[in-house]
Amino acid sequence: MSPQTTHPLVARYLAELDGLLRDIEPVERAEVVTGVHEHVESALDGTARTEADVRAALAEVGPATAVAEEAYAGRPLPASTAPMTLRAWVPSTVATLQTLGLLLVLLVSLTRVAITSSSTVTESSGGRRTVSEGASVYVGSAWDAIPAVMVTLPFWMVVCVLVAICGLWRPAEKAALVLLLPASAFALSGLPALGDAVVGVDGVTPAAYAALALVVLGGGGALVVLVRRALRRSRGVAARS
Amino acid sequence: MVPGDDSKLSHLRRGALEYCVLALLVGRARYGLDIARELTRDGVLMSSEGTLYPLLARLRKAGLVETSWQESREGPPRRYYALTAAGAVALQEFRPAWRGFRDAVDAALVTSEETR
Repeated sequence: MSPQTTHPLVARYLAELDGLLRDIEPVERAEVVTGVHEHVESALDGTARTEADVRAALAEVGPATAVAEEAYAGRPLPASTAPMTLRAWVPSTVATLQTLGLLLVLLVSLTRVAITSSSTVTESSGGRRTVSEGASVYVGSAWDAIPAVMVTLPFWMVVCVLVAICGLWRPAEKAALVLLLPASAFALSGLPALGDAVVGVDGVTPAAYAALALVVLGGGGALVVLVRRALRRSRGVAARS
Repeated sequence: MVPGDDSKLSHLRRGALEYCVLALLVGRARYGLDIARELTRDGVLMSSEGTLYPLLARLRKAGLVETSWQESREGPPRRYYALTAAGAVALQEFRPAWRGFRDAVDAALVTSEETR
């Protein structure tokens, strides 16, 4: 049977299974993979073949490792022969270090955003004191990013090395990962300073919130996407190796 | 089932499940999904449907089952598995062996319960 179209999730599952069965005799290996393929296609007959349908069918089939274990009949599954730099530990470690780094950047940067207000006390000849409130002043600057960058330097250097040696990201993705921590630090310090320069001291707080949203949602979101992408590629490499 | 049962069951299944598949094929050929759904119905004989296919591949290699393609009303043609003469003999030989094994296990378990 050769189904006309194979859902990408099914194709990925079959590729993973085929990779796991690489030490099985070729005819038996092909028989198992085509048997599972036919099984999934039969299970999807009569459904709308939505992603939920496909996921449900694959859940019934069970993990590819369980099928492979049955094929090896008690023998251990072959170890992955994928190079170390293409394995899942690299994106997982980068994700952990970047998350810790981002938290440190947030902690250091936000504690340095401060608005001070001056007040003047005048005393009249009759001994009466008058307190007059002066203008509020933003005391931070974009250069406050430097302490945040310095604090995260050990994390950032390891991230740079791992990203450089890892083959699971494309050059633009690597650049984004390397720039994430310093860019976050400069955004958290620079945007409040920009708000102060453009709007005045009233612009500092909204700009600080905007910077926070940019770092947490934009930076954090980009990190999640890039790490998930690398993990998916790593699974593909492991299945083919 | 409680957690941990699955690994015990997978040990118990080894060696017996092949004959359960052969037994399901007595009298009529069946396709993979049909066999798998039957075996996974209570989660005892098989926990994942996909694990059926390595087993079927071994049975076919051993000449105990044979395959053929049959048209399906619901979709593309399906591969059907049927018992061969050798498969029927193997199943016939397994039945008394299994009964003896089952009785011996039962007897051991009953004895151990009585001496508690």
